[in-house]
Amino acid sequence: MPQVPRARGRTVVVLASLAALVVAATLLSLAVGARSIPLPDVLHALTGGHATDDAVVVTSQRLPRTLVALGAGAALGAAGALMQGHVRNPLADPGLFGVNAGAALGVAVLVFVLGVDAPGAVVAAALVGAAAAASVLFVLGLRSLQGGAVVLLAVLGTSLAAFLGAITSSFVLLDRQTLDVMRFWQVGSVAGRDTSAAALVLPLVVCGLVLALANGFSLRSLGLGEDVARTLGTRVVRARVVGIGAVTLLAGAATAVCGPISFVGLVAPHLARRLTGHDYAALVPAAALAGAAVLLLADTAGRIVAPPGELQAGIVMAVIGAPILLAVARRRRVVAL
Amino acid sequence: MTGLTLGPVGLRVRRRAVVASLALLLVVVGLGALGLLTGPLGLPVDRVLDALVGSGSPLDQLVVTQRTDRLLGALLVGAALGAAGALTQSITRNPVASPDVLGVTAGASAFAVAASVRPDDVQALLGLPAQSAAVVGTLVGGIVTAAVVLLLAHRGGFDGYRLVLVGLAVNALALAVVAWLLTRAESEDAAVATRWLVGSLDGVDHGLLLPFGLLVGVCLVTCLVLADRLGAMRLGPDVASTLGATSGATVPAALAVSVLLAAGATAVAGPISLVAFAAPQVALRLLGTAGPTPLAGALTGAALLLAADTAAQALPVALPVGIVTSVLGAPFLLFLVARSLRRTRG
Repeated sequence: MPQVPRARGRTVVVLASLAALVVAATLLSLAVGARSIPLPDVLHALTGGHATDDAVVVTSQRLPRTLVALGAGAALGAAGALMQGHVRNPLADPGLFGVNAGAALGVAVLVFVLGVDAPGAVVAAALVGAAAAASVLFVLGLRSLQGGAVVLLAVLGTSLAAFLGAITSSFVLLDRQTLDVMRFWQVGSVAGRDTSAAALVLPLVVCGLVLALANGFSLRSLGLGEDVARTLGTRVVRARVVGIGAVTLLAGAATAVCGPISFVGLVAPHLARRLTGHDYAALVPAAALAGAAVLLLADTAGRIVAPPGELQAGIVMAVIGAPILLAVARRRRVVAL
Repeated sequence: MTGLTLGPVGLRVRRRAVVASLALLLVVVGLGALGLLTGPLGLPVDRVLDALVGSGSPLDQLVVTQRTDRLLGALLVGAALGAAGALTQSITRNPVASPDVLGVTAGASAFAVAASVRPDDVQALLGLPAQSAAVVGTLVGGIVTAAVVLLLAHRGGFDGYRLVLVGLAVNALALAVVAWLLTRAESEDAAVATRWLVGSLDGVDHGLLLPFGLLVGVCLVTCLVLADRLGAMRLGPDVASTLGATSGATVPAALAVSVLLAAGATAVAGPISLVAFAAPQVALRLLGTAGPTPLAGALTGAALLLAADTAAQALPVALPVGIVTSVLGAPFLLFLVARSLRRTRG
């Protein structure tokens, strides 16, 4: 498809500034916490300086959670943009619409019913759960395309999330020990997560992001309606399947490591859309960058708002995201994307 | 359709509605008798009957009191949820809207979990002793949250869509608070709170049944008064005002009744999911009425919850009734949404 040069230049500027924001948020996340560490010391620790106390804090505690937040934020942001584009619902979010809850249920069944907790199996279970939930949503969501039944789908998505959560908690009820694990996992946090699982899902996230970027180009024509898209040479079914696959990989991988985190996938695309407009080829990467920045900032804020404890990133995201959802809801009409 | 005239009062009677209502009543009576007469202790029928009339041994009486409490709890909570769901569905004209979308259950849950995790703070806030602080806190939490949702959603009237969306946002926030409180709790408190969060009739408080029964009674009478205007509202705001049915107070009154019923039910049994949504829709299909009516919803809700509780008790592992209702209700919800989506498409 021919590009308008000026639009491309604008996209480059937008993506570059979002990338700069992510870098700034990363540095902030490394420097801020119960113990504040000046930026030069952070950089020194990263480049392999002396093993001072500060350096140990940075490399052993803050670096892992920062990397997890980067990956999970980008994954959830991109997944949210794809979901919003495919089901054309401005409220779509892997957390609110139950994809993360599906992944969480998969993990709960595996760990607490079958008693398996090998990282590979956990990731696989999360992906299966996410795929099931994403498929239900896409199939029903695509049905609603022509009707503008935005709200109905939103109710369905949140009901799906609540239902899957109820099943998950029924497993938890049967055993005190699993409850103690689940109640911390179910909040959604980037701190204290299993780094071996994180290393395991990294290829999945990369793969999902590549699929998402490619899918963004298909969404350009799909946004004109399936018939027009078909005339323009887009393979509609393949594009939908790639969309489901990418959302599954991204949301499933993020949930397998962090637990279910809502609102990143809602907030990031809305922020990105302000900058890029509705061109999904630019919106998807912008939403991924915005998601990484938002989740990093949420995690960093959670460390300092309630000393001596911490607020988990999942809670901070709900506090940030709910008012944004309210703002979308209080507009005169909810317009289908 | 036949008419029934009694002096100046005329009543329209639909045969199908009457037959279906009688069948539901029969189900309630049958399941109720089953629940009273059978149980893990295997009391013989004559001793149960003796205890019911107050002449059995103290132990028998204790067992039978527990069974009657559970039975009454199921009937009242089911009726309250069914009627509350019918009211919200009528006002929002949305088949999947239940009082949950008004934030009642999530708000009530947040307060209830706070009461069990941080009892001292909640007692200080309400100035009440521990036992009543939890119940009152649940009730107040549900009502306050619903009021916040309604205030935020009010913009020169209640648009059904905006109401649902604002409710979703407030719900998400309340549930995040619940999750956060659970991470701050001691292990034992968290276990109790999690069990409560599923919704269960295991420990229905005997002392709550009478006030809750009165509340349900008053609310159902109010529903009866509102019935005609609600019927007009279901046709849409334009038709309703043509029929003279938008006398300002109908929507607020119906919403208030719905919130009271749902908050009360949550205070008695915890947030039992999907009964409020499913009961009016099942009633609508059984009775063949034009829309979800509160009284039919109440009857169906009572029958559904009693059936679900009977099933939950018959399972090999005793599960709270809330799990049974979510597992059975969710496919029905999916089916209804899929159908509504197809209809809006055409």
